[in-house]
Amino acid sequence: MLVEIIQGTEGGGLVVIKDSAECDGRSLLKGFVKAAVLRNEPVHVLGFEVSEDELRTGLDSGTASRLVFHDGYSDPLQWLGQGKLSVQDYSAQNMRNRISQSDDPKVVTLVIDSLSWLLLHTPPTAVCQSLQELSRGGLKVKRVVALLHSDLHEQGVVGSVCHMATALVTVTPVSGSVSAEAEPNGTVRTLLRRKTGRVSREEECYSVREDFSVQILRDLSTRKQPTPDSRGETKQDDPAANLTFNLRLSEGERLAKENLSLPFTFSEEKKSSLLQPRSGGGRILYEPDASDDFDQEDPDDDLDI
Amino acid sequence: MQNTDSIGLGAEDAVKCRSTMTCEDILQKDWYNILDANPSESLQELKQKYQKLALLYHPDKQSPDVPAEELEKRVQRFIDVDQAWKILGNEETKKQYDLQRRGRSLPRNTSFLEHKINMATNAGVNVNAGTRATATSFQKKSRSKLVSIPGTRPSVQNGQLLVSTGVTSLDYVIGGGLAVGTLLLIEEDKYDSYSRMLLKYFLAEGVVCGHSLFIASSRDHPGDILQELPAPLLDEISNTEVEKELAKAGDSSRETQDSMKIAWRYQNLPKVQTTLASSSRFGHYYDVSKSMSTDMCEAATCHSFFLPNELPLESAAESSNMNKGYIKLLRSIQGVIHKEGFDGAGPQNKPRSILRIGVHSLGSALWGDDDICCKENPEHAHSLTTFLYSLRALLRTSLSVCMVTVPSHLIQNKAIMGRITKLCDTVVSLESFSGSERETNPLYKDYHGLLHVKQIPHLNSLMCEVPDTKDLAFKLKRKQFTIERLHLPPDLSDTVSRLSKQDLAESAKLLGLGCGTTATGKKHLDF
Repeated sequence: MLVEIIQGTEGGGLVVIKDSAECDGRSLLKGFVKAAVLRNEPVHVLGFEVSEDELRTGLDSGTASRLVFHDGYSDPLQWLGQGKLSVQDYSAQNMRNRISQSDDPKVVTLVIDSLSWLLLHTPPTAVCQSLQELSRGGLKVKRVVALLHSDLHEQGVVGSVCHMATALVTVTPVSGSVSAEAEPNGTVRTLLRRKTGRVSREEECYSVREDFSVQILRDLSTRKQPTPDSRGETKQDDPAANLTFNLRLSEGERLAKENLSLPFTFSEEKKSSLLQPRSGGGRILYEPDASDDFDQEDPDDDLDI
Repeated sequence: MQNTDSIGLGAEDAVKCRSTMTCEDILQKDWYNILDANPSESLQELKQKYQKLALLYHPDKQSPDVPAEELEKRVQRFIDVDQAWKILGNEETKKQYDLQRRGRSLPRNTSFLEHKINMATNAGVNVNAGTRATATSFQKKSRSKLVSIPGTRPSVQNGQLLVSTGVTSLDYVIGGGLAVGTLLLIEEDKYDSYSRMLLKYFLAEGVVCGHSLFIASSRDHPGDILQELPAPLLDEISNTEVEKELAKAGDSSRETQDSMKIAWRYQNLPKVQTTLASSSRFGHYYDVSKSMSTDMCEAATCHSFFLPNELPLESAAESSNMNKGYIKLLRSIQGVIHKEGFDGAGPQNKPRSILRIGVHSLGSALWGDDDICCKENPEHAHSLTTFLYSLRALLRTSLSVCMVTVPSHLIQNKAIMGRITKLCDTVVSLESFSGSERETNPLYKDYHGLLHVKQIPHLNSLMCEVPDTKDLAFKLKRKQFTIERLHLPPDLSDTVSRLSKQDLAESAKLLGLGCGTTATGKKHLDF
């Protein structure tokens, strides 16, 4: 599922990459940038944490033209007053204005590196509201991809921001054995919220190559699906096997069993009449047997006159 | 309260007119009769009638050759007309008089207190904030005409006026329905899929019953929510479909009788009822896969409140004790209630309806409340609680009902959740299985999640109707959102292998004690 999200076929709106100090998510973020650029989509990066040069390393020059870097790194608090991007400038309207300055007719993928920097300087509600505004789509922004360092913030803040994401990609360090072909960068757990309300989750092992293309090594989804087929098979264990006595029927025995008439099997009319819903309680149906001798005057049948 | 049978200008009335008018005096006279008008006339018409009569009976306007006692009568009449206009011309006193007039039509031998209650309830609602506030629109079963509003019914337990939440099983679980004037809180499941569905059912029920809607949201535009409402199943309910299938099976052949060879007497008895439903039909069923037709949506009066449109995004942090977004929302709701006359302010002859208010994801960061969901010890926690308190007060004094969803899994401080629970009337929490380890548990394979009823209100009574089972699970099917009792499977100790029996025992412990104590631990008893 990670590949589909990177390719943009799924998870439109807001994609949040959640990483931690143990496993860095910036390489995955660059993978997103690379994939978007390869699709000929303009990418605008709001860079606060790393410099422009560092971000551009590894991306070849062909992509450089389609990548617009808004520099928030060199002068974040605007001490030099050179008109660079600052944290206080951040708002949905301002970002839209900045993007539309680069008059590109196509819709833009906006990459935020990183949200943690913004959350440290602006109240979380403002960040959430601006993200919602930007990712709601329309005019210029196709989708927003943001990086969030989960160990820098309180659990509530991380929870609130991730609650708004359409696709949440959590990066964790690799545990377990390493595959032979490539060194995995980590495991990624993706959570995708679809428009219908359904939620899909997957866990995969990924690696990012030199040219920042993302490769899935193996699928680690360990969900045990309770498939009805397998349950049906286990249920069909024949209980009559492996016994010291015989519980099975031969063909002749089975025919004889079915031909046996059970007590209380009445004729069809009586059965259907009994099955009709009755308004009263029960009814007593008395069919005098052959040996019944119903004598009104002598109920006990012991007078020998 | 004196009983007066005749309403005329007797001698004692003439004496009373000279003194200041007391409360009882206002009651004794029929002011409409004096002005020769009826209660449904507008203020303009009443004024015209007053002016006409005043000109006719004014002492200075009488011709000199009128006899003395006739003159005195006319003067008296003029004083009465003047007094009548003083009362009926002022909106507030006119309303009071109308209420009391209707109260007088009751049987005379009721006690004073009952009489007062009947007066208030016959109006259906508390009209004026100045008068004593009774609780919700309590409908006493009396001979007087009951206010009948489409889509509502009185509760069989305590006579409360109920509306359906749109999900019949949920109505059953919370005691028959949602009482008018109360607040239903839904604690969202982790990914907000089922709570949104419940909100949509609630609003769709309002459209079908002809109620007015008020949709407030900060995330999705209310217009989008309105378009995603499920389509009602107007011709058949799912029960009758099942009955039709059974009838077909019965008609075709007697094969079904052969399937029950020995126990054939029990064939036609209904199976054990696991779905919860009450006997009388109240509420509708909806098809989730189709959305409501646009003309049906447009026929409903819908007010919407979309926070990004109402508040500029870059507003600075607020002062006061309530968040700006909440203040705006509260004012908007209050405005709609007053303008559309849900608090009884409008003219009496307009057909009454209920206002259904749906608020999505209140308390999340998108509402501007940056404390409750983000911090463990929020300083402005009282913002949401003040809002709920004021909202409930608004609901109590009007013919409206509100459903609010709150992302309780994001709220870090459990004490705040407790406060929020206490401030709402009915609280229901959803716990969905998607994404948790319970998804693969064989016990839960038929269901989508668990439903916990956290609180049921005591409205005008000492006891509330408690559902008889606390283990409820829900399943969203295409045509129905069912809430069922969660059954433990029978404990077949010999055919089930040891491994899975242990799993069942573990999960049975998790379910709690409500479902029987067959599986009590890892050991099983051998006989």
